Amino acid sequence: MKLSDLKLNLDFDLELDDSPAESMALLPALPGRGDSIAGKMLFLIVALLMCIGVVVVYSSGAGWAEQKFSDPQYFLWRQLTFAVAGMAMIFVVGAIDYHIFRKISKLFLFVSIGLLALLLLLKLVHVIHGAARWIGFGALKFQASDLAKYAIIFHFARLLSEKKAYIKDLHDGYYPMLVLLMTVVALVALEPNFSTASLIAIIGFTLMFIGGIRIKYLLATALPLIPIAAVFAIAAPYRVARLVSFGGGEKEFSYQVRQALLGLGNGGLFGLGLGASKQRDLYLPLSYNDFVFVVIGEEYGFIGAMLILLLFAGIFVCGIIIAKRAPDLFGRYVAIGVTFAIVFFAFINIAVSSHLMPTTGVALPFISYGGTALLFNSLGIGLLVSISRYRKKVETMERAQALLESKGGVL
Amino acid sequence: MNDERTTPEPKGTSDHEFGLRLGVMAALMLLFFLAIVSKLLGIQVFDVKKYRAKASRQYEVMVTETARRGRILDRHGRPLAESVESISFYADPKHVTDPGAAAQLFSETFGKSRRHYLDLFRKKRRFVWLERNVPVAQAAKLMSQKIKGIGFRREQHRYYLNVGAQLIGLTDRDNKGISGLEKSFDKELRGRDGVRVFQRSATGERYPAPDAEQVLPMNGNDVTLTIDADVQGILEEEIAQAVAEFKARSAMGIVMDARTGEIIAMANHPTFDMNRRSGLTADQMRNRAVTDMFEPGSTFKIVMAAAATEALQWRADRLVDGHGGTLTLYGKHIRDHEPFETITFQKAIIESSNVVAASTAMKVGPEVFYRYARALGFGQKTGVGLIGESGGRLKPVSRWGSLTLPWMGYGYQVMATPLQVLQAYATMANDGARMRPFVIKSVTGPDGKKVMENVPLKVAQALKPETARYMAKEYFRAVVEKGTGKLAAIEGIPVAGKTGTAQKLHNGSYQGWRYYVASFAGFFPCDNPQYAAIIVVDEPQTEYYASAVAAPAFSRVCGRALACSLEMQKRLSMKAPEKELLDRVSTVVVPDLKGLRESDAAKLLEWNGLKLEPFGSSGGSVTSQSIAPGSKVEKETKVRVRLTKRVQQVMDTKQDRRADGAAR
Repeated sequence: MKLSDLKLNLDFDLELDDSPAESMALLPALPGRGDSIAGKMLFLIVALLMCIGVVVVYSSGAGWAEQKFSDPQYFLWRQLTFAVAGMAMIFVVGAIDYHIFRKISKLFLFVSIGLLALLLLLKLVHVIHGAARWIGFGALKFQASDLAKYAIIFHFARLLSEKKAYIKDLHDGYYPMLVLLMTVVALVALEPNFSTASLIAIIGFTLMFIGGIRIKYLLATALPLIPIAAVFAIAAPYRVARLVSFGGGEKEFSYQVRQALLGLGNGGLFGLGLGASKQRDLYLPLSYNDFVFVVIGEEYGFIGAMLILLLFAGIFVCGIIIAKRAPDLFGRYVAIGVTFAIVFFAFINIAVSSHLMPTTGVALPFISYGGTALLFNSLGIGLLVSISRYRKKVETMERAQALLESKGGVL
Repeated sequence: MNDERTTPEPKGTSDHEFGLRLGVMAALMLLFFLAIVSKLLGIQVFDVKKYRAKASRQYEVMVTETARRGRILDRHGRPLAESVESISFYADPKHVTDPGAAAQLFSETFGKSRRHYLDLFRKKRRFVWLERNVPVAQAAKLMSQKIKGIGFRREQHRYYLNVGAQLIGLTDRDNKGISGLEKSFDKELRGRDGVRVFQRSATGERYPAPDAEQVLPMNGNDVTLTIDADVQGILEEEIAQAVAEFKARSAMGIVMDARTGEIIAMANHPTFDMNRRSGLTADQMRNRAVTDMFEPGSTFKIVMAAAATEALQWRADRLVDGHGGTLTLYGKHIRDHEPFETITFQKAIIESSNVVAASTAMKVGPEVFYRYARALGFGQKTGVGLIGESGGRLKPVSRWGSLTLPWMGYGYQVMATPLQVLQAYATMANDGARMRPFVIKSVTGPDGKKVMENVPLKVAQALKPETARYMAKEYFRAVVEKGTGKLAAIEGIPVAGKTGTAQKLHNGSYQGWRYYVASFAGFFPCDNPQYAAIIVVDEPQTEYYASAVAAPAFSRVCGRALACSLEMQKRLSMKAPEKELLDRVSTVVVPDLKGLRESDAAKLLEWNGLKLEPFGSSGGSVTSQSIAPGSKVEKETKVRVRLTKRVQQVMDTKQDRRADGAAR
């Protein structure tokens, strides 16, 4: 098994002949086997989250599924299918060499920008009404912004690793990345999907910050962005309504927020028990999706909610360990980007559910119903696993080669 | 690579810087994490009570289940008033998953087309009535089936046998008694409403909450009356006829068990239709038999006779002075309807001499007279326990004028209710023992256990038994045998009693007015009295003497009551020949059926010992009957009635009836 993987990786390596030599060189190894443990832990946590997701989505979505599709198990089978597919995705991606994403990152980014532009175009010619967010057909529909998010992570990781030597330079280091990021963010914001656009921007800036861009440049960009964002935020009535309902007194809370709080509060410390959620009985809209955390808090109480939070914190810690021990800079930045994207989205979702933030349409990674988002996140986790394994793989390969050479064999 | 790390260029970045920046990011994430934790802690641990309270308000819905109101039964357990539960079905078309099957089911049950229900299910509203007020028996099957999106409500309707209207009273829309016994026994009849707690989903579907406390409704108690529905019906019919015959203003009647004080019947005219609630005026809803007092006139001579017999030791053959028909006292004349000279005391009573009554009263003296009046129950409430009972008016001796005693001797300057007068006669019938009259026999819980039972209560020994028996035999039996009360006689049964024709006081004067109250109070059988009855006819126009107005009504009421009541026959232990005689009396009067529903008409006829033979559309209302109302026919005669369903015609008929009533 390992040998065949190895072979596959070797093939890739052979193909990647145009890659700059420096990125292929390994960063110095840190003592201990932290990366491989972190990779396994990560895999375990994600598997656990997916299982919780399947159970909770079934529990919370049965009523809605019954009402919408006349089949209470509608969400169960779909979520289960996607969870299995997600696992498979982690296995496959975890086994391949993550450098392939480095090679295709530019293509990946341009495809996403193209898709986002296409969506806007279709919206302009009135083929799509309302928010132009989804692309694809049938079960394989995905949010173009999900794709763009990962494209930004991959390409930024590549750029940051390539520009390492002159990253503090404004013109060569910062501007090209800012232009790319702003292009994607603007396109997503125009869908319109303001909250996701903001989150992608935050991910982009975070990556740039980690990658070593001068803080004064980042601040100089962020400061004018804030008034722009404010104007944009009050440009659409629904956004204003959300903000008012967040800032105002309890009377002004929106229906969703009130129901969310009610559900969490009713759950109390220990929760109502598995399948005992009442909010899911059509009180709480999107109880299987954006507000799935409420059902968790209601059924399993504060303890259950804390478990979910800690699992995501665990992902963060594993991700950081993997990043610190990454074999090269590309891997490091990808690891940080992916980890941050997943955990940050999760925290945002939980913050919205518990009324710490105004309502945004962000799903809870691995738990919320939604197939393609789960697959994208699995891809990210797969990459983390792949990064955590890479160093060992290379060592194994080197040892194998040395063995072969010592025996005088031919390659 | 190593030298890059050791000699960082100003334009590049270092591992050290990376670690620092990563630390900053991790710290920010930790802050975010802690913010979430504290927020959750606030909601789920500290404010949990607030949210729990809100949640239960949202999830639970309380539904009151009305307790079934108890019945009012007659002495034989026949319902005089009962709450009939009916079922109304409704649907939330949005939740009806299988309209086809549901429509089919309803169509099969109620006979309407499937299309009809399908159209209802197709409505865009969230609430439609499918069927309203259908009988429980018909709805039972559908009620047990839980059809998604379809629910039902129970509603109660008070249905009355339509007798004793003023006595029994009515309930309002909320099932609360508003008059009569329905009001005074509301607490017993009402029961306790149940509360069911349902869990509610956001879409409004309800299902019983398993862990909530469900209070089951406790049905009301049944109140059993001493009233005999048959006798009550007869009494009502007869006083109505008396009113019609003599063009009287109103009439009252009471039949009582002389031995126990149980009231067998109590009727008032004018009356109202309890089920249709037409013409509900205070005038018609008043239970005159206990609320209205009047100057009794000659029936009050029982006090004078009792005092003379017991206190003065007078006998029937004692001679008294009739003063030639006129006695002048303090410039006022007391007149007899015919002049008497010296006559026996017995004749004075049976011919109802006012002159003798006045002079005898004066001989008795005010204190003694007052004592006997009180002993026989005048001037105080009988304690029958009916709403609005009046105690009459009997002034204390200290407030008597010079004319009070003589006038009181023959029944003026004193006010009494029909029930008080009857009580006095029943006391005489019961060997001088005054019993408290009562209408409530018992109160029974829904489980059949007796909650309360009334037992006969002796209030006072008003007269010595010998006195009472002597008076009954020598004076009041004679009144019916050969005096003013001849028409009160019942064939085969010895009756005792007294007529009373009282002139009504109008604007403080008896002069120039020809308004009378004609009454007859009596009991039977005279030798061993069991039942007492009184008939009071107020302001009869065509005749006014009680002997012609009230006495015949008394005879008819008691005769018919005896004919139809096995209980009464048993009490009198009547032998065959007497019974045969009574059976001949058992011709019945055909009631007016116009405008009644088929079931009501059938009930009314059955009551009168007649049979209904319907033709026309069944379930409709009566538009004509083969035998004219008021005609007397043999029992068991069939009355053919035409039934029509058209609403318009029913309306017309109602108007006709009203016109008829006005003409009468």
